[in-house]
Amino acid sequence: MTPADSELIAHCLRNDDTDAFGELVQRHQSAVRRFLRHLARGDGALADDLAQETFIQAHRGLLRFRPDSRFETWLLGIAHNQFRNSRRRRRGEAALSEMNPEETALPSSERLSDLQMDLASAMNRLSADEQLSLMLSFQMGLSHSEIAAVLERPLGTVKIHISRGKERLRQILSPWNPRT
Amino acid sequence: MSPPDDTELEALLREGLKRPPLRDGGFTAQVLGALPRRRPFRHYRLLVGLGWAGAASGLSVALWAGCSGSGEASAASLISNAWLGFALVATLMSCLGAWYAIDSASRA
Repeated sequence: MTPADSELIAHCLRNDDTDAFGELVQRHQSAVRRFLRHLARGDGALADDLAQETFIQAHRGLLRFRPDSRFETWLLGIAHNQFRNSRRRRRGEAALSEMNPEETALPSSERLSDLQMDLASAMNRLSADEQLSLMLSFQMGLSHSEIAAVLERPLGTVKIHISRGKERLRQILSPWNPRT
Repeated sequence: MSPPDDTELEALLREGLKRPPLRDGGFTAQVLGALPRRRPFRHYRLLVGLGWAGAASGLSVALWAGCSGSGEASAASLISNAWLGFALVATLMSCLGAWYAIDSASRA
């Protein structure tokens, strides 16, 4: 039987077990790297560097993890902080926002369906906060309160971003309405 | 065309934002390789020092207890001496403490 995250964390803490931590990295690397790729607008190299730093930070701070929350939510919170710190450090260098979103938002290695392409294009027309909240909610399956914890925003703000984002998408995506 | 209702939009978002999990591709190994090595045991020098000091004191007390008895004192009477027993235990514990400190430091 596959051990739960909490068991692996307990194992890491008790025995300083690198294998148990490796299992945790393997389980959550996809979510963390995908989240960071979204934040870095498809810059895979930057996203992976930040993801690595995220896991190192998590390993260092494992004692601070509260078992009443999900490990993945905690990791995404660290990843978000890592991204913000890196953006602060990179301020003055070429800003990520100046990159062409059409080229950077979608990794070229991924083959997307028409729906996914249209949705990605529609998402690009939303604000960064709206995109991020919708992505965390619908791609990663996080609850509104988990999103608020990851982004360190009030719950009400997250709900507004999701609601506004959905409203704008509803208008943009009306051709996809199956009733029409 | 009418815009999709909330349920339809949410279904569309779930379907449209779905992505296959990213392949590990050596990422986990890279992270594990970059983990900082276990922090060296900081106080090992102090523990080693205390251990050897304890061992030396224990031996001194043992010798003193042994020498202060009468010349014809037998080994059995020496061992029964409370001071000598205490000194031997202290020596043993100190040696163990020093060994543990050295072992911790070498594994860190």
